Amino acid sequence: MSVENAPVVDVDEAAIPVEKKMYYRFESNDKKEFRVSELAIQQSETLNRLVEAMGYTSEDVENKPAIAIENIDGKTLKLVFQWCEHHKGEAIPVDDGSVPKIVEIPEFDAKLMDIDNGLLFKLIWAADYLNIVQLLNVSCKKVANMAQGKTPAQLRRVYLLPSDEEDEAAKRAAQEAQDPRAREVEEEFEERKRQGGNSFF
Amino acid sequence: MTDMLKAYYKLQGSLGDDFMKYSDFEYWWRRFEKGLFDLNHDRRRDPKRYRLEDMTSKILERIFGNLEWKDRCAVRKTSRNMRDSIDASQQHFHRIMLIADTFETTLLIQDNKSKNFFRISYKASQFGILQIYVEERDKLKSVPKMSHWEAALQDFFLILKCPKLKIEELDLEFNDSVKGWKLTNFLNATKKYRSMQRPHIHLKSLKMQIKSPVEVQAILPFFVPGVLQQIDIRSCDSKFRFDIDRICDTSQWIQARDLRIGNVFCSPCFLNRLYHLKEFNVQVPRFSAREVYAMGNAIPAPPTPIFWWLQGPREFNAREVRDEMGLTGDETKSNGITLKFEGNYICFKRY
Repeated sequence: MSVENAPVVDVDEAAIPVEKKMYYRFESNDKKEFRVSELAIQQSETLNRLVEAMGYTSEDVENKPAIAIENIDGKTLKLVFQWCEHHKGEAIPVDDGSVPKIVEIPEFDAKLMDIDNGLLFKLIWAADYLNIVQLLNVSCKKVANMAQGKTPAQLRRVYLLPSDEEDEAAKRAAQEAQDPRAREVEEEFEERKRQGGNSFF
Repeated sequence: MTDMLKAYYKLQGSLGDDFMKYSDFEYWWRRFEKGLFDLNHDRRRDPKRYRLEDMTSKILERIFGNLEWKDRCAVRKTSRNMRDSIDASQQHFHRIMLIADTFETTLLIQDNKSKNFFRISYKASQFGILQIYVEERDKLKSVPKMSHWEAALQDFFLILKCPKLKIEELDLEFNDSVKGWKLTNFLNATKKYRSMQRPHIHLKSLKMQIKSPVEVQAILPFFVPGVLQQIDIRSCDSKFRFDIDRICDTSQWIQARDLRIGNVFCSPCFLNRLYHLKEFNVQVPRFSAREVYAMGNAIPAPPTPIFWWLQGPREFNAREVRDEMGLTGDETKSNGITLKFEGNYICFKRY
């Protein structure tokens, strides 16, 4: 039988079981709300466990208040969920605490992380808090790339790091109010640390 | 390099290094980028910024783990907190080589990720001034009253001090003619660093060309027994008497799988302490058929490869031992083992 002669059968689309996509609602600490797909949430071990433990149905998601994420602001959470949606369904690397040998930053991630350092560090902090292993890998790699080939002075500017002198001055100011004996111990400790000799490092 | 960083360096080039802090530049760049051109904006009203220093040690370790060793050194020099964080984080090197020669000591460090080598040269110059070069290009500093090998050892031990240190291969080569070499200084340096910690370095392979076995005894306690799989010790002077007793008793030596010693002098009574080695090359004042039989009986079961080399004095004739054993020909093969008699030496080998 040719294709042209094949009988046309009306298909009742409603009868085919379609797995409904579930979206969860989350709220940042500055009261911004986000809708995130179930698959995207799987990228975050913390959120995945949380929604599993809550056992929400689609109705619950709509009727109950959004799940509050107290420690992360809306700007950061937006980036986190953008990343999760883009990478949903991808394999999640096992986190054994070690740094993976090769970390490549995909184009999407590079664009997403083209942000100021403050927000980038917030993103890292959020990725760690929400246990999103791959986001943590790429964001840490991005921060590491900023250090490549730079002198300590350049690094201080890039990372907003105080020099030892600035650090000491701040410490001294804080110690003013402290017990003078504790200060003596601290100074002695610092003196011992300085006795490193003529070292390359 | 981002456009922002390029612009910053360009302005720095024309207005001087201190024209503006990078953080301030970045702040205003980002504002202008968003179309916020209000120059009277009060930054104090902005929410608190996150900095690298605010990160947990776990995150910092992840960041620094992506850096090559020379970049980690640069970060280490930025501030006290960074120094403490870098020192506490895991360091993984593919290879570290310390080669002490007559007037120069070289410290070669190979990163485990990139496999790039980083070279620091410590050169003795006129008037007793030591000069330290990085990558043969940049002179780092001149240091008076310090020998080249001592300065190199100081840096080498600073690396060994890291609490979470992994090294695949460590090569230490002390040449016979190192100027100003003092064993006591070497031992003092090792003692100073060793007393701080118990064996903590995960090293897989140690190769040493040494001037005295005491150097091996001093360095072995740094390494975690059982992790150290290969120990290869060569003497830079074949005339010294190699007393392996103390080394053989260390747990690092006992638990290593692949042991080699070479170019050392050994008393015949100590020969039986070498029979668990895969490879040795020793000189003895004399040997007879009895020693050769004892070695033959001690050969480990196949397929372990062995290369045992026993050398007598120059005037010694190994063929006399062969005749004493009633063998003929320079080579005898049995069960995959080749026994060779030639000149003043005998050799057992199985590959």
